[in-house]
Amino acid sequence: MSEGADLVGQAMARFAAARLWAAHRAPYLATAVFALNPVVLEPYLDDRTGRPVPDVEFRAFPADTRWNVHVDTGTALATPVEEIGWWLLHQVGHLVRAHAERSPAAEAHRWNQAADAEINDDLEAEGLLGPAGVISPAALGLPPNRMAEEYVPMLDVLAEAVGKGGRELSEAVDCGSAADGVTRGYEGSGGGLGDLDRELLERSVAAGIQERIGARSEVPSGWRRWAEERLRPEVDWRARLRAVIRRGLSSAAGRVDFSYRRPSRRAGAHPEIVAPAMVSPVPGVAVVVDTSGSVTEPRLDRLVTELTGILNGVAGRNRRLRVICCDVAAHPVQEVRRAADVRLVGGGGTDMRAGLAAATALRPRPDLVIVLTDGQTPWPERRVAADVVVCLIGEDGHAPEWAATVRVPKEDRS
Amino acid sequence: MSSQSAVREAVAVAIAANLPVILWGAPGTGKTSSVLALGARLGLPVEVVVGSIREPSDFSGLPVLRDGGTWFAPPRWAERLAAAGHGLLFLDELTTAPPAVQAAMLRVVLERTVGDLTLPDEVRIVAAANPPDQAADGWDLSAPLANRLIHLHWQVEAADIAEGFATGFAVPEPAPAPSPAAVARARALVGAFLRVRPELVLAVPDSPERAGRGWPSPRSWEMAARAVAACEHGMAARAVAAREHGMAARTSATGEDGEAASTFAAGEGGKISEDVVAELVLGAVGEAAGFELISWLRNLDLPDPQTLLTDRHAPLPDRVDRLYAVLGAVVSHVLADGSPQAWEQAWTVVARVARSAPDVAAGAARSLARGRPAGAALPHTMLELAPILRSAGLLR
Repeated sequence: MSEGADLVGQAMARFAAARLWAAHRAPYLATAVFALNPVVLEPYLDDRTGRPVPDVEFRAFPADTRWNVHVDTGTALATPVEEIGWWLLHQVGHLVRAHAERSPAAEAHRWNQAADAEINDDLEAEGLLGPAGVISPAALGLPPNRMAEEYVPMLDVLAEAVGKGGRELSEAVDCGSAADGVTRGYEGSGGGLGDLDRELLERSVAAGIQERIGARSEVPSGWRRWAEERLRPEVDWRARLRAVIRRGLSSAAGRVDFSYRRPSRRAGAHPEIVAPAMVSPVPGVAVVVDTSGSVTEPRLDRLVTELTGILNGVAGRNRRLRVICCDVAAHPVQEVRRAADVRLVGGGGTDMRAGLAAATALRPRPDLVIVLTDGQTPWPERRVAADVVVCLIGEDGHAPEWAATVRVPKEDRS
Repeated sequence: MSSQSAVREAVAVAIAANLPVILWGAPGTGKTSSVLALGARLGLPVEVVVGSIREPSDFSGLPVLRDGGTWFAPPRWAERLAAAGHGLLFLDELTTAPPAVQAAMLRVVLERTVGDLTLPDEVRIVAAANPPDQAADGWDLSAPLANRLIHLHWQVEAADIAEGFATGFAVPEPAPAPSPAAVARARALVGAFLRVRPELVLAVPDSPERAGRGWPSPRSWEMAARAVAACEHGMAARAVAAREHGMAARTSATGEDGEAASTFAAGEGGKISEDVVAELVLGAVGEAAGFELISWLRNLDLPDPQTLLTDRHAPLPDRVDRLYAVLGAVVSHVLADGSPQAWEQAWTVVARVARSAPDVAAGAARSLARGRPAGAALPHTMLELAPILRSAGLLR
């Protein structure tokens, strides 16, 4: 059996050389590359020659989510060192981008290809071209720097077109459960990293990348973005809008008042004292919609619908909502119960000062005014007589400092 | 990233150390029942007070006329706790209570007073709440209240529930309270960390949805330090128990690295407890600051470059990525130093690393060789590493 042990030793030496190559070519990922834990699998020996045979299933050195990479001795001996190193960088990509968690349950193979596309364009940007037969967005004519979720439909279309010509999109390469989250039969023998280790490792890799950016070292843009998002996760704008609206309403709804119009629940306990009961006012909400030419109507429609959904959740169901459409002047107020009843009228330029003035002139005066706009408008210089929440559509506009602001993406990606 | 067993254990540790906690979790996932079970196991009387069905006067005291003055009579649950002298106050549905009731409940958590009555220090406070996006009429916690609680995310895993139905639900093991010495040591550690990262001492949350979670302030750092102490103490107590049961081998990691740092060595016995420390620290000071403290505590047991250069037997870390970090530190230390003597010493470290991880050693050797001071001879180790450098295509 000494020959087998010797073969494993040779395979590990190649693996170590590949790790060194990977750490040298992508120094910003060196920590991550060295954190990969090799698990050597029993070699599959040829009956006649007694030599290990590469197993095509392990071509990609498949990883699991505990940062174990599975090294098939035959494959390691037959693959050039540079190619092993390339696969290691590729697996690091799957791991830190949490492809296993993001994977949809169905279509694991297509997901693996899309995830490969998300990683490989960054590697290609570095001049690290993958081995023949792997997915490459550039070679397939797909746009770079997209998420795997976006590549899935593109690949579906391509696969259909290519399928008619009778050619496969790429060879079937299996990247293990790190790519799709489905546990494989060979997994489980390695120790690997726990949840906390993984979290700390990813954070230190991201911090290392940011340090390199600070020191003006070269880091590809895909990795810059990853590090930025990893350390400062973006808050879902819906959650933020909900929180801001809830806070705006609670300052009105929380104005719990005492009233002698109703007797206290506790009146029986101490008959000699007349205690007041508690009442709380129902907050009024007005929505000002920017209907100038610069905002598209379908987007506004969807936003108004989402807004009423959030208001139903926060302030109670089927509340009457006052909506004012505003371009250069404010249009007459519409009182609606459902978002579908809002008619969006207007066009041309914007002056939000008119819209806010119309909203605060409403009687009874609204406690919270929600403004949907792209922000290309003049604003009142001073705080208006109501809490104001501004939903800024797109990245360019600006909102006044005295209003709570939520940025909403121009295109709805989800 | 949190596992349910770690959260359960974190609750037990927090109750033992008398740290106020809030459990965030969906309705019907066993928050209340598991706190009740823990209270029963610890022999603490438990009072459950559900916020959403109470009035403000239930917390601020009912005004009664007596002897010509107004007394704020405390409710029965508060009197029972005060009479017992210790116990567990469980404030359920903290965020679904109306704002006026919430304001009254704050005072109980903040100042431990109910009407005219002050609760004894030995009364533990545990709160539970549904996350605002799950409760129809939920409110975010105000930043001052959020800062006084350790936030734990109560999640349920299907496997645990399935097993619970078959064999009964697990009750967390009661943990011992931390000793004053352990608290002092942990405070010193956290203090040392804050000296390195002073900007993390206080970071008032800037947006409403972040305000309702843990955030760093001197008060929450104090809670984090006590949590670290409680975990360390719990570890030691359990190690003693394990040794008594003849399982000494598993927990022998304690003596070598010495001091509090050994708690964070990734040894066999320390695994679970480190997750628990993480839960509590992250819950107290929030994710960004909490993870920095944890990784800083972890790096405490990495040997420093000067020690490695002078001591040939200084222990090296096992994990390859940490080995890479240590060797990187040695190389940059030596290159900054610039003396031929330090440079030659560094090669002995490289040679030691080369035995277990030739690729890590080879990378360091390249940078080291490039910074060769005048008059130093290229050592033999470089030749030994030549094959792997050639194999990786870095030597031509």
